[in-house]
Amino acid sequence: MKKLKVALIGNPNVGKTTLFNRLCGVNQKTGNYPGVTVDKKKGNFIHLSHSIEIIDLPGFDSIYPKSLDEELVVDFLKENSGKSDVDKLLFIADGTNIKKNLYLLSQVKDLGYDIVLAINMMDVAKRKGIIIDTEALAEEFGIHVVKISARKGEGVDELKSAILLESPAMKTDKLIYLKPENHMVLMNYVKECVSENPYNAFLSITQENRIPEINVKKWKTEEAILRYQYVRKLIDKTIKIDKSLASDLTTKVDRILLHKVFGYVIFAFVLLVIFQSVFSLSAYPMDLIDQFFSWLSGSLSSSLPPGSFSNLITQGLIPGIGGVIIFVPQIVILFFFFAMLDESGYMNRIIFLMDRLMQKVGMSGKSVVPLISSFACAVPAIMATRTIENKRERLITILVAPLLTCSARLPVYTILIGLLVPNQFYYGISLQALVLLGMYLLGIFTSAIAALIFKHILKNKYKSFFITEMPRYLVPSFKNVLFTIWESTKSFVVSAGKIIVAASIVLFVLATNGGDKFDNAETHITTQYAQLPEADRDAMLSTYQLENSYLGNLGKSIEPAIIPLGYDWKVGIALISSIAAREVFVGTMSIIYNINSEEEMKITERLDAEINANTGERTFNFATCISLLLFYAFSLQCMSTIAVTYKETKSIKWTSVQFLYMTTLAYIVSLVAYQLLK
Amino acid sequence: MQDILVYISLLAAVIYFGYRVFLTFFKKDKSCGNGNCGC
Repeated sequence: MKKLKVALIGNPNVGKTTLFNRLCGVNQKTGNYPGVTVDKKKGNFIHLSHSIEIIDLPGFDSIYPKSLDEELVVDFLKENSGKSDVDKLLFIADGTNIKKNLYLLSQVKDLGYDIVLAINMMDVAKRKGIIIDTEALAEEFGIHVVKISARKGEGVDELKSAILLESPAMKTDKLIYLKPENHMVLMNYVKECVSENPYNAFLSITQENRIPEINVKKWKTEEAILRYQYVRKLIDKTIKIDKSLASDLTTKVDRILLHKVFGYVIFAFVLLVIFQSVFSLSAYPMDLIDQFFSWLSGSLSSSLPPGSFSNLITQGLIPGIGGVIIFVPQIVILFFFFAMLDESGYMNRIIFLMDRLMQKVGMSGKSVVPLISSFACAVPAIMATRTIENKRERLITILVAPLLTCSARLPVYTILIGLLVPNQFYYGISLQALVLLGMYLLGIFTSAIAALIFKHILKNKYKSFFITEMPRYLVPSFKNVLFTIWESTKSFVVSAGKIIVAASIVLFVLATNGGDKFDNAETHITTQYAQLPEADRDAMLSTYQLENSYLGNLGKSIEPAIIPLGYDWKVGIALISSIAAREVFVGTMSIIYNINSEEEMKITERLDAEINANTGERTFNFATCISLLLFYAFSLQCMSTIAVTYKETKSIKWTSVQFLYMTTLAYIVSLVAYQLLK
Repeated sequence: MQDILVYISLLAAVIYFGYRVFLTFFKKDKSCGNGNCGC
């Protein structure tokens, strides 16, 4: 009996283990999530007088391994390339999502293996209206291609027979992964080294840095771009989607959700529902948290011995921390919805919808994932741009990502919208939620305009392509949703909390110490306003002290620059302190107005009652609130973002460009808005 | 006594900010994703 050794490989989650069990009759653990196979497994079957040994390898996404199990497969493939230890590779692809699999297939084929391609889940693909030209694929790669459904056992016998057949000749044997000018360098290396396979030689150059004068990073980037271009052309030639043939629920729903008009309308409606929930569902828990911190501050000030440290706790730390913790309910609700969108599969549809718009402003779908992360925080978003091979697209994405509304802006927006817009409903829609939606859309719109401008400034070398998975709609997993909420909230509370505690201490010390005027404040007020009642004198004293404290002097030093925007020195203090992080704005306001007041009031009530000493009007009137909202929408008030931009671009120039364009934009827009509305 | 505690807290806060600035601007990033770090 003739023996054959076949290795079963493919991307994760394509049904490899199901096919392995189907072929060998072994009951391995199977799952619909990646990573079930984490080590080599072996099995046998007999077909047409041949004993066939199957080696099941873990799923992997690229020939460049990122994890230990991927390393195991790649090492196996590299070691066996050009040897007779493995007779064939059985490459399994997902018929419903073959685009991603073809990239890997082209890499493995270049290693010189005899391959049989099994396109799995064809029953589902058929229901989606996906038509795959298997003959064209077979001809292109010089392989046998068989359509199967491993779950139902369809096409498995045909696959077994195909494993025994001789491979047809490959149509082209070009080095598709390397620019023509580098072919000679590679072929010279092939002659010198032990490996006869050009792609194996290419990998030893790029992974082991065998030729020091070669720019390995550039070769790898070029490979990714050239391969994606090749795969894109191949997809256009071999895969057609006839939506009229589709009969599955996912496709039916997609017809509506991905519609070129209704798709965007539904997306806007989903956002409105989220923001309305952020406001309406959070009101009660926010009130409870506010009351708790007021109670804590009050009871501690009566029980602690009087003194500066007690004041630091009751007037500095507690209002500062409370000012941030109060927004936890909103963060929880926001991330609950984000997790639901992600888990249900709708987030991928949003990415697809946005890809159409991204192409027009100099980015691609690859920028969408980092930009969507930017709604949580610009720091991981900027780090996530590492997946974008095209340098121009990557730089544009980094430069515009901080314009999108991050969770740190939410407390600032909420407090200002609370002052600006009455809590009224029109046809069941909250006016405050509409304004918040407007702020998010403003961020999206401005980032698109900024990207368009950068697109014209920066030169482009390549056009990049975006291939995304469109998973089936699923009922969100409760556990995963809870995990996302927990991680996001913990990150918000811990990272903001540490800065707030440190900032509260510094702010409190600066607000309760000062020069001669501060030290002589009591004498000054008592002699100047001796005729006033004691309560009024106390209020005047605390205002006078704050004004002449180090913190007050700091705020006053920038007052000339911010008066045209409608702000006074107290807002100036909040602007300076929130350069560390935007959410410090609210904490700072809580501290400033708490130090300045004897009464126990909510922070919004305090701000609403505040009078601008320069104009004699309400400090937080309509024009000032609009001006502040716009300032925080556009300014780069985040030290961490500045740092991560520098780290990722390695360029002081682009870090400065980002900071300057955003700050200038924020100043000009706020100035114009205030001057027009005052 | 309370004044001393305030100044110790202030010192700790200032050291913390200094540490944060060091971490964000000067500490080298060890993980570099897919090797596509830096434009």
